[in-house]
Amino acid sequence: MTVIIGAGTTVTSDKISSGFVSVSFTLSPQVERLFQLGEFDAFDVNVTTQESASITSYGGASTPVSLAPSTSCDDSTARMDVVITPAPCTGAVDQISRTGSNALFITGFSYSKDFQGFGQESWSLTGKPIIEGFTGSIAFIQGFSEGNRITGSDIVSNDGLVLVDSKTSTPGQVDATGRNLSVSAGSPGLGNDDLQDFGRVTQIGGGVGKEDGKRGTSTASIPHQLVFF
Amino acid sequence: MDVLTKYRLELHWDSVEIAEDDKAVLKGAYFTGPVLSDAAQINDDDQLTLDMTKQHAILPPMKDYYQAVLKWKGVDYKDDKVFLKEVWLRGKYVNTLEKLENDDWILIDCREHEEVSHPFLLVYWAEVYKKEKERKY
Repeated sequence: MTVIIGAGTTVTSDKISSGFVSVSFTLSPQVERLFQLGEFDAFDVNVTTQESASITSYGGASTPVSLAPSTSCDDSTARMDVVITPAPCTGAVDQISRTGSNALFITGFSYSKDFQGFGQESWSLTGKPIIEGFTGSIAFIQGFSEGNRITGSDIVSNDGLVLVDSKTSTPGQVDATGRNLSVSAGSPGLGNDDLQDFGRVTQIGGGVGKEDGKRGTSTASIPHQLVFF
Repeated sequence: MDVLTKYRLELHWDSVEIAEDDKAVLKGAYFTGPVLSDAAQINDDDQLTLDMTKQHAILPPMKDYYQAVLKWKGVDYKDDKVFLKEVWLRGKYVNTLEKLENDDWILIDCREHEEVSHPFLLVYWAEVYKKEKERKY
């Protein structure tokens, strides 16, 4: 297979200043056909198109995003301006620009770092569905965000998550703590014994890039709900 | 950095001139390596982003990732090399942490830049090598 040596795709964002590593963008149309007896041609077609993107970047380059469930029928504030300029192998393609009122909504976040190396953040993004022929309004409201993180003395100082308990939203408290223990046979037989906190997430982003000898794993899901009116 | 032979690309040069704090001009630069036999025509006016973060992951002087843009304005295929014209490398650490010298060279891994995967990975994994160390082509 042919290898490309030259300009790759470029990405800009209002929440991530630089250090992009990879990106993907998907435009998924769903076609619903209405058939009636006696005809093989569809009587009507309903097309809904959903945009989604995922971005991976180095830690230390993002601006934290506050999360709070929506209290009105306004769009979620967990949004990110994204401009993707693809690098096609042949021909030219249009730039993908989702900014301002077209910004993509943040539906997921994760952070990972090994003892050596740099932390990386991954952001999952979703756009409002595009419904052909729909003339009304759609709001994309934010729900209750939850997440988890590995804790311990060998964990980075900032894994990009602010985790609180669900009842009082008190920083430093969590809903529950789990434990993961694994050991591999061998000599030496090494393994991990990790505590894992679960709770409500009130902020994502801003995880550290470099912190030698520390590791980190965290993840958050930010549910969104469509409201038609 | 372990690079499968078929994806190995090397960037060499005759001399380096420090143009600005974050910019080094590479005179007599050229690409070489096995990957050229499977590579598409390199554009005359083009660039790529080199990611050398992993090389410096455990060194204290670098506090964040290390990416640099390699840009050129002309290519000339000759024998098994591709000579580049008006080449410069721009990045925060190019002239500080990684002060390039005439005999240095950069190893570039093109494994994740085949046609289908190229649009999704924004960087080329790379490492700077001092003088003749591990030079193969």
